[in-house]
Parts: sequence; structure tokens; C-alpha cells
Amino acid sequence: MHYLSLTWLSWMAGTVSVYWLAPREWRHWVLVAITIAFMAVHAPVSAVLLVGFTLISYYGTRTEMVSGWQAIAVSSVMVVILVIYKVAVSGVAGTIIENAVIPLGLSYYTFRCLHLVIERYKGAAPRTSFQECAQYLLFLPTIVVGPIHRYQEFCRDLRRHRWDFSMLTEGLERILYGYVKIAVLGNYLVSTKFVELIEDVPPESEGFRLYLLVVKNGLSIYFQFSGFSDVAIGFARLLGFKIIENFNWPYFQPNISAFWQCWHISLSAWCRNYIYDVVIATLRSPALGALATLTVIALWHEISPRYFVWGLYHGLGIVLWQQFQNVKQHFPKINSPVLKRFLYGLSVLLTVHFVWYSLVIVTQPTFLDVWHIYKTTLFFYL
Amino acid sequence: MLQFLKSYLPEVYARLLTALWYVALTGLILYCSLEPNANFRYTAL
Repeated sequence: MHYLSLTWLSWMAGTVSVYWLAPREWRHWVLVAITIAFMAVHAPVSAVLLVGFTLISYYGTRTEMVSGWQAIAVSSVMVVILVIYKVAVSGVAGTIIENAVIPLGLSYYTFRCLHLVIERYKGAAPRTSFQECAQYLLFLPTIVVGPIHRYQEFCRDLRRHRWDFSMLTEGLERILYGYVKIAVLGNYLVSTKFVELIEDVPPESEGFRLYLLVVKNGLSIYFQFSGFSDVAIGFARLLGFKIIENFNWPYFQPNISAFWQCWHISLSAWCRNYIYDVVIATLRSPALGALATLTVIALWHEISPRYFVWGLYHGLGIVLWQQFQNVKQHFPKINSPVLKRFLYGLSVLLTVHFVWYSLVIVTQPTFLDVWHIYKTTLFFYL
Repeated sequence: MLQFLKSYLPEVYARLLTALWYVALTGLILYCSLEPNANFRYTAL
């Protein structure tokens, strides 16, 4: 099943209809039941894990005050399960689980559970009822591909919840734009038509052909992932919930730090709150904070050497940018608006290429292939 | 889309154009999805 399949579209339409037709007091339990049914049909292992994580998150934090040990114990159980699956799938340490496949949405709902536990520990989230906890964690629109929406915002919508025709049109419009990104821009224009153009490039221009493939990968990943997020956000809107945005024109940002504030926003904000801020508070080092944050973001995708290198690449990029900010103060001030605009455009181009070339690390099968692309397109004189 | 058009056009035209815009996009999605050479690489759920 994929996001444009009739099966998924039927689940969406059925969920929205049943949800709004159900009596008000049952409505939220109906959504929880549909989510469990969806997971049980399409990913039974994940359904068991998700229900288990929900119970652990609720019973582990149901006291008025959540102690540090309580939070660590509850979080550790979920993190260990996530790590076991990630390691098993990547095959780094041999096969732990036979024919391992990552359970559907595991990375997303683990981080949502951790968010809930940490917010309860910090006292930023009030004591939760089982109903609210289950509704937050068993929320079908964001189960599969995120975003990692926030508990406080979700509860706010839960309390204000009522039928509003405008949110129905907003939701449908958002879903439509999501599918345009996935099917028209991503699959048709980039992965089909653009690839046909790349195939026509003569063999003697190997460097140019590989460069176009790098561009194609960058565009394809953005349109696909951003499209999926739009569908999830639109689906949530149809159910009356406004959830966190996940992308904000990431390829038009002038530096790598700004890029990470606009790319997979829900994950980068999660890591900024729970990794970067903690490292800064304890070690007082923005550089270590950036490296730790990007390493966690990378390993969240996959625990493997290539993702570790990818995280390090982005972490070092941010460290370099931080250092550049210090040096920049000594540069003469630019007053010409034309030059300012030119430099802005140049920095956007540099940033987007920095990101596209990072994707080579995670899309190529071996580091030799990565080096071949770098050498052919960037260091062609070697 | 409707809000955007409403600020430039009378409401009836804005609604009509919005409806046409949605139909056109839906058609485009269907065309691109059903095109025989389309290289489908949907991320499996």
C-alpha cells in the first residue's frame, strides 16, 4: 500500500466519515479504535508495540509528579526497543531479528512517547488522563510518516474540538496539494521526466550527468516527504486538529542552520528541545550541541555508518557556520542592495548544494560510490 | 485559494475559479499517476 492507493484513500475517507457521524462523547475513542484497527490490519507488530508504548507512557507518568528515575526508566524501555529494531534493520551488528523490518511508524511514535514523558517530567504538561494520552499517541493521521506533533497543542485542539466547515475545505485543499507534490512534481516531473532528460546526457559528460542525478535526488526526496506531510496535516485538519508544520521552503534558506529550522521541523524542533538545549545547558558549547543534535537526527533515520557520517557532515556544517558568524563581524559592512541580494542568492545556492551533496552519502550503496560522485562532479581534476 | 481569489474577484467568480483549480489539480494527479511511463517510487507505508 502507498499513499496514493485506494486502500489508504478509503481509510482516510472512512475515518473522517465515521469520526464525525459518531456521537460526540464516543468520537475520540472511535478514532483510537480506527487507528488500532488500521495498524492491526497493515502492521500487526507495530500495533502491539504502539499499544504497549501507550500503556507504558501513561502508567509510567500517571503520578502527579514524575521523578527523573521514573522518566529515565520509561524512556529507556522505548529507546532500547527502537534501537534494537534500527540496529537489526541496518544489519550493523549481525542479525538480531530474522528478516527485520522496521515496524510501521515506530520512529515517530517513539519520539512522541518520549516527548510526552519528558514534558510530564519537566512539569510542562499537566497530569494526563488515559483518554487524552491514548488519543494523542493513537492518532491515525500522524502515525505513519509524522509529523511528531506536540502534546500540549493536541490537547488544546481536543478541548476546543467542534465541527467547522472551513477546516474541511482547508484539509481537503492541503491533501490535494500534498498529492500534487507526490504524484505530479515528485514522481512524474522529477523521477520520470527529469530522469529521461538525464539519460539523454552524452556519456562523455559523466560529471554533468551525475550532478543532475544529485539534483534529482534532492528534489525527489523533498517533494515526496513534504507531500506526505501535507497529506498528514490535511487529514488531521479534516478531523479538527491543527498540527505542527513540517516544511517551510527549506531549499530557499541562506544557511545550513536556517535549513534545519525549515526541514522536517517537527523532528529538528524535538531534537533542539531535548538534545541541543540540554547539551548547551550542561556543556555550554554550541558546537557540541550541534554535533550531538545532528547525530541523533541521523541515527533516528537509521543506525548505520553512512547515516552517522551524514549526521557528522551536517553537524560540522553548522559548526562551520557558527564559526563563520564570529568571523563575519570583522568583515566590512555591505551597503549595496544589489550586492546584498547577490550574496543572499549565492548563499542559498551554496546551502542547497551542501544539502543535496549530503544526500549522496545516504543514497549510494557504498562510500566508494559516494567518493566517485564527489570526485566526478566536484573534484573532476583529481 | 478561495480567500486569495476573494480579495481580487467577486465571490461567485472566486468560487468558480477555485472549483476549476481543484478539478484541474485532481485531473493532473490522475494523469500523472496513470501515465504508463510514470516511474512510481512511492515510499511504502
